[in-house]
Parts: sequence; C-alpha cells; structure tokens
Amino acid sequence: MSRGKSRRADSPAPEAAQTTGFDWPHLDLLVLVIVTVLAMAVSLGLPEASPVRVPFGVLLSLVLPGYGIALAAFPGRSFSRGERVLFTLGLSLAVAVLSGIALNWSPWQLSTEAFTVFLGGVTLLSCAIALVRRVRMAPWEQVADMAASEENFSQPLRFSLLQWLTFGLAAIIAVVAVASAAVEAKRNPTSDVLQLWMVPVQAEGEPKNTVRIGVRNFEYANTDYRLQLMRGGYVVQEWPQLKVDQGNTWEITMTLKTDWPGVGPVEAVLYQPEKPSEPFRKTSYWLSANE
Amino acid sequence: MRVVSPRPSALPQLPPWRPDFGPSSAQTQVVPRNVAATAQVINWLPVLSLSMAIGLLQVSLANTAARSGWPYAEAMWWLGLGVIFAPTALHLLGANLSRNNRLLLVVLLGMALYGVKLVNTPVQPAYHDEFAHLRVAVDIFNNQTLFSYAPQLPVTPLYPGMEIATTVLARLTGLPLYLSGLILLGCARLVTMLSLFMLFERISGSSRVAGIASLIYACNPNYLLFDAQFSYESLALPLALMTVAILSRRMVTGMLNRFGYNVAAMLLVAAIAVTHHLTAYMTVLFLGVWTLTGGIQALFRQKQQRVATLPVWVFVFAFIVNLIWLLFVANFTLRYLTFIFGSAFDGLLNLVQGGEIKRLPFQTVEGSDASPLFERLLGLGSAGLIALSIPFGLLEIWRRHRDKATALTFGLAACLHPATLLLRLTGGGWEISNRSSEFLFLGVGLLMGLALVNLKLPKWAHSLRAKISLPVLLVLFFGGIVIGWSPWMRLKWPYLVVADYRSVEPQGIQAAYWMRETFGRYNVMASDRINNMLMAGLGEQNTVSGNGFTTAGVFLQARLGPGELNVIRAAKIRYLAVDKRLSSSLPKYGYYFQSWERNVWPYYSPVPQNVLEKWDYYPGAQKVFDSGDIRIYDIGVIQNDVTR
Repeated sequence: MSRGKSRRADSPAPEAAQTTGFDWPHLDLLVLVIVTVLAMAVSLGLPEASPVRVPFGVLLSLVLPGYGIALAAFPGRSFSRGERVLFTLGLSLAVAVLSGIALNWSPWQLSTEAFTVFLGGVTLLSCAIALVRRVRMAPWEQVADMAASEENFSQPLRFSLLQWLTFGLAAIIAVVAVASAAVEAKRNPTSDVLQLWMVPVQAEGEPKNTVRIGVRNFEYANTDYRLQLMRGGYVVQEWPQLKVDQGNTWEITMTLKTDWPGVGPVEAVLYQPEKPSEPFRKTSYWLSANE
Repeated sequence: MRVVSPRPSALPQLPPWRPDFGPSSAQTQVVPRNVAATAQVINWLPVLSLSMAIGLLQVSLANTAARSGWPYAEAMWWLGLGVIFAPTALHLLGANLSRNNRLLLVVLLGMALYGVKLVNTPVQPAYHDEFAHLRVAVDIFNNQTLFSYAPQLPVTPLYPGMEIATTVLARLTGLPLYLSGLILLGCARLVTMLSLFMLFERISGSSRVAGIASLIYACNPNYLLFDAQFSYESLALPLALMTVAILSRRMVTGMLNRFGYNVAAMLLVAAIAVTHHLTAYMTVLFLGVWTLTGGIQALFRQKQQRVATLPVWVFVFAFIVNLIWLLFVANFTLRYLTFIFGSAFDGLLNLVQGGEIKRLPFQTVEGSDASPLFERLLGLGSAGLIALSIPFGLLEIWRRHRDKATALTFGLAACLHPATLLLRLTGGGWEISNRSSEFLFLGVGLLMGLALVNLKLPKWAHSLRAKISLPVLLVLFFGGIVIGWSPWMRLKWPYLVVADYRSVEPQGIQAAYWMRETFGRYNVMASDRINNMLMAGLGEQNTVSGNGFTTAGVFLQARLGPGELNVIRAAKIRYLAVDKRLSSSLPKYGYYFQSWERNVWPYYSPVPQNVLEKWDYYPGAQKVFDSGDIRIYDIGVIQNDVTR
C-alpha cells in the first residue's frame, strides 16, 4: 500500500523515497499497529453484547489482516483504490478462513480469544515484516515501483457536494429497502401460529408421568382459550379461561394420575372461544404404568 | 457538449449521453491525464446509484406485496431489476467513461444485485443449502471445533471456510451468525466485482471491455441468488476470481512485486481448498489449463518474443493443497461428487443413445408448471445469443489476444458453455450444467465483451451494434434469471408444499425453535424435506434423510410394517415431525421426504391426510407438540420396545 499518502504515478518522486529510517513514511504502519491493538483490546476486554465491538470486530476480521499482509507483501508498491480494497478484503477473508483451520488443532480451539490473538498477531507480524522490508529496500527499488500501478493513470473521481448528497440519498433508500424487508419478514404472515405442547419432565426426583403443558401464542390478537385434560372422553381437568397474550407463553407442570377415569392416553385439548366444540390443538400422553 | 455549471450547489448539468462505439477505451486509456471530458461524465454516477437504490426498493416492495398475494408483485420485481440493471448497462456501453468510473459502476451494480438477495432473506436463511451451512456455522460457534456432523449435507462440514469466517466475525463483533454471514458475503461480492473488472481489464487491455464483460458475468443464472446465498461457493468463488486476477497481474509485474503476488496467491489457494470442493477443483483445472496453454505458447513463440507464462509451481501448489485436503480430511467428497457426476454422465449417455429426455427445460422436476412463453423465449434467447457471440469473441481473441494464455483459456471455457446446456435435458445433469455456469461465464463474459466492443464491423453495422447492445444485455440478464430460478421460487408468495423458499414460514420455524428449546440439540428425528431442513438448521436436530435410511415409508405407508419399524430402530429415530399440509398438494420439488421415494411408493396424488395422522393412533407414541399443521411425536416407545 502507499505510505501514509497515496502516491500517483504521474506525481514527482516524493522525498519519502529517500527515507530509510522509521519516519513519517511509516505512519500507515503506526496507525495500523495502534488500530490493531485497540481492536484486540476491545475484543478481549468488552462484553459480547457491547455495540463498540461491532466496528472493531469488523476491522479485525475483514480489514486489518489483509491490509497488513498487503503491506508486508508489497513493501514499496503503490496501489490504486480498487486494488487496495481488493487486497484488503480478499486477503482478510483468506486469513479468517485459514485461522480456523490453524486454531482447530491448537489447545485454544475456535474461541474469541484465540481468533483475536491470531488475527491481531498476523496483522502485527505483517507490520513488522513490512517495516523491515521497507527499511531494507534500496532507493532505486522505491522509485522503480512507482510505475507499478497503471490504474493510477485513470482520472480520480471527484464529486460535488450535491453529488455526495445524491449518493447519500441512494444509500438511505437502499437501507430502507433492506430494513423494510427485514421488518416484513419478521412479522408473522399467518395469523394462526399457536403452539400447544405436553412433554414429559424427566428430571431427577420428579414423579413419573409429570408433564409440562404449555401454550404459546404467535397470533395477532390476545385470545382466551379453553384447555381441557381428557382421558377416554372424560374431562379430568379444565382451564376454562386461559388467557395467553400475543407473543406470550403459558405453562404448567403437573403430574398426571394413572387412576383418572377412562383408558388410553391423556389428551390436552385446546379450544378457541368461537368454536367451543371443535378441538383447535391437541396433544396426547400415554401414562407409564408405575407411578 | 453543454457547459457544466460552476456552482457546486446547483444540480449537475448532465451531458447528453448516447452509446458511442467509437474507439474502445483500450485506445482512449493511453491518453491518461487531463482528460477534461471525464469530469463531466462522472456526473451520472450518483444518479445511477440512485436508480439502483430505487430499483432495490421496488424489489423489496415487490417481495412485501407477494407475501400478501398482490398479483402484480412479480411485474414490479422484474421492473425493479430492470431499473437496477438497464441504466448501468447503458452507461457502461458508452465509450466516454473513465476507468475508475466504470470500476465504481461495476462495484455498485454488484452490491445492488446482492441487495436483491438481501431483501429476499434479510433475517434468516430460506434456501436448502443455507440451512445446511447455518447448522455447520452454529456447531462451530457452539462447540469451538470443526468437522461436526451435518445431517442435511454431510460434505459441508468438511469444507468449513465460509462458516469459519462467519464465526470469526460473529465472535469478534457479537453479531448474530446469520447477520455476520450477510456482512461477510457482502464483502465477498465486493471482491467478486473488483476481481472480475481487474481480470477482464488485464486480459483485454480495456476498461470498457472489462466493464461490459463484468456486466455479462453478472448475467449468469447463479449470480443473482445462488452465489449470494449463505453457502460455501459464495465465498470460494470470489477468492478464486481474485486468485486468477492477481496471478494474471503477477505475470506482467516486475521481480519486485512477484513475492507479494506469490504470497497472496498461496493464501488464497489454500483458503479456497478448505472452503468449497467444486470451486477448488475448478481453480486447479483452470490453473492447469492456463499453465499448459502458456507452455504451448512458449514452445511455439517467435525468436525474441517474450511470452508471460504462469509458473508451474502455482498449479502444483494448488494441486497438492487440494489433494492433501481431499485425502486427509474430506475424502467423503469423492463419493459425493462421483454420485453427482455419475448420474449426469448416465443421463447424457442415455440421451445420446436416443433415450427419453428426463427433464424438459423451463419445467419442474416432475414436469409440471412450465414457465410462461415469454420467459421461455427470454431463456432461449439468452442461450442463443451466447452461442451466437462465441465465434465472434473467439475471432477477436485470435486477432488481438492470442499471445495471452489467460485469454485462450477463457475462450476454451466459453466454448464449453453451449455443450453444458445439453446436460439440462438429463435428470442428473441439470445440476452440473447449472453449477458450471458461474465458472464458464468468465469466458462468456470476456468473449461477448470483446465482441460487443472491439469487433470490426462494416460501417453500416456500427449503428446496428449501438442499437442492439443494450437489448442484448437485457436479454442476457433477464434470461439468466429465468434459466436459474423457476417462477415460483423468485418471490415470497404464499406457502407451497415442499418448495424450499416458498415453504419456509413461521409455523415451521417456530416448531424448530421449540424443539431445540424443549429437548435440546442433536436429537435424532425424521420429517419431510422442509421440516428436516428447518429442524436441522434452526432447531439443531440430527435429522435422518439421506444417510442410508429410507425414512419416507414411515410417513407414506398407511400401515407401519416391520420394514418401517426396523428403519426407525436402526436409525435411532426418537422424534417425528409430521406436516399436515403435505396432503394438500404434490411436492414442488418432486418428492416429500427423499428423492427416491417414488421409486418405492409411486404416487400420483397428494399423500392422504389419514396416512400422515396414523401416528395419532400408534400406542405409546406421545404427541408432544401441535401447532395446527405441524405435529411432533415422541416415538421412543419403538426404540424401547424392540420386540414389538
């Protein structure tokens, strides 16, 4: 990548070409090191839910390693913007992929800490290599390199304020398009997603035939249901007004009795208020003989 | 040309634009500096980005409208795509754009088309392979190790590159896995567009050809949705394109930078090898052909003529890395690919020997739902235009670029494209033909780009070329979508039986989450194709579908026989998820449970509801869950009672 400031092929040879020590020409390396260390600190120090992690996490996984490797691999090369983005993203992706392969057989495995140290380490190591290679580079190599990127011959893009505003408007519309799609996809397009369950509780110390009976409402409206426990046609227990609000869950843990009347499985039957005789949801449980 | 207003705050005075098929930018580019005209032409770029954003909004609204069954939603969707593509195409066809302008347009187009996939599935996956990959990513995230078991697609954990990168992003940012995947693949799309442009530019020597060739590449049937989905190829392909792009650049760079290109290429090749089998093998094949072509060129070169060849070690390195991964980690791949290629070969052989055409173009697997006539014409038009332009493109390569091994290799790839279309007439070959398009379109893009821009035509034909170029690109773009995606797959219309994207809806999703929440992960269960994919991908259950057990009978048989009970016991199935809606129609995908089920239990009408409900009456089978259409049964009684 270019040092500090992008050099153009048609620009006069910069004084930087004469410099061989640790000086302003290596400002990019210094910034990269600082950002990397900061990103590592954020990743290792802040809790997972912290929003600050997002920009630093994106940088550490998708930008910094590739940028660093490109600096190390091409110590004197001046890149066009497109190339810079390509190398930064492409190499970062490759390093992210390979980091998992390398860490899988390490004692740390694929933990947050391991990824952070690996990616940060790769970036810092790349910076060190880049610095060494730059310092060792002969001045004629630096001058010769300036002609490397013919893409720099192209006119740079310059936009007026209005044009930037147009870009901004386009970005806002695009974000609205995706966000509205996300909101729409999150809404339930069907109005009858209502779950009823009756599952055995197999915890230590619980009596046999202990079950959890639950209702979860994903419908648009809050509804009063009627829930009956039945066995062989006999109603053995009833919740005549079971109010489950939209998005909420109702659940009860109880032990089913083997001496309840009737034969066959115990059924939990849920009715809607508007159809009181038509089972809306039904689950069943075969009792174990030994209580 | 009008004078541009000097006031920056005023609306930009846009110059009159028309396609100009004068000298190509290969020639214009040699006048690099002080090109005053470019300052005026770039005024269009923000306007074009605005049109892309408006097109994307239209596509998003069309999706919303389709959910509520609005009949004109599809027309709105097509219109949105046209608004994204057509102005950009028209502009890229012009001769008076700067190189950076073209590059930015290509990148913006790629991102806008990625947005089309985003608005399709913004919050969770919706396609079969996406669920399989999400499951692998979730396992890596939770278990912090690789190579877990993937019930839907056992080969996926053996190529975990995309899932690793997603996990890295999710772990470092704290974002959900799927959202991390979307960000990752957005970056991958950026890499794709930059690589394509730079690669085509390197070969053709023209940014104009590069822009148009990149545009044509975006017309391949898999570009819009398949290569943007949460799947391994969506990452491997951009890395492969970047590899080829930087290697083509390496061949002409001085000694100073070769080391850098070598390091970058090695990293990329290694990353591809662990990310996607097919892309990795295609990369090795491409490098092999490239090296060979360069070698042959070097043999026949004129004295003192310098031929830039790809060093053999690049190919050898790629070959060895892939071989090591295949032999020591992913040897299951051989079985997986042998099955796919074997059935394609059998189908082709059968076709050549005069056998029956297994699958008609533009129809579903079961031969129903032919696409509308207009769509069929678009698809055929697209294929025809490609076939027609290949000779012209080859001629252009021979005239101007035959000294470049990459150009010759791309020409070869383009020639293979029409041949692969034959495979679409076979049952098993359809997938190979479909999946090869993203590779072969590299050649198609280059050849058509060269033909559209550089081909020498008589004077009278110049205006004709200017007139037909945009319609040609539009037919390619829309035809590619028609070929790649059945009409019922494009938009989120109401529920259909076993139709992947169209069958993924809240009831199934919530049932999968309930299963994980209630019984934990990795329970062995069986269901239909859709609920298997939801239960495995979102519910993290170990579904039994394709791993040697014929579970279809458990659902399709009216009475359970010893065979079905033995399958349940042998596969250790503890839970069954039965979807009542299966009885409402035949499956769109041609099968409910397993692809071979109709060979064992032929059916010509939907499976009867009472057959699906038989588990209600099976003694000891606990019906633990009911959400209306989906019921979950605990059939541990069959496992426990081996004497039954």
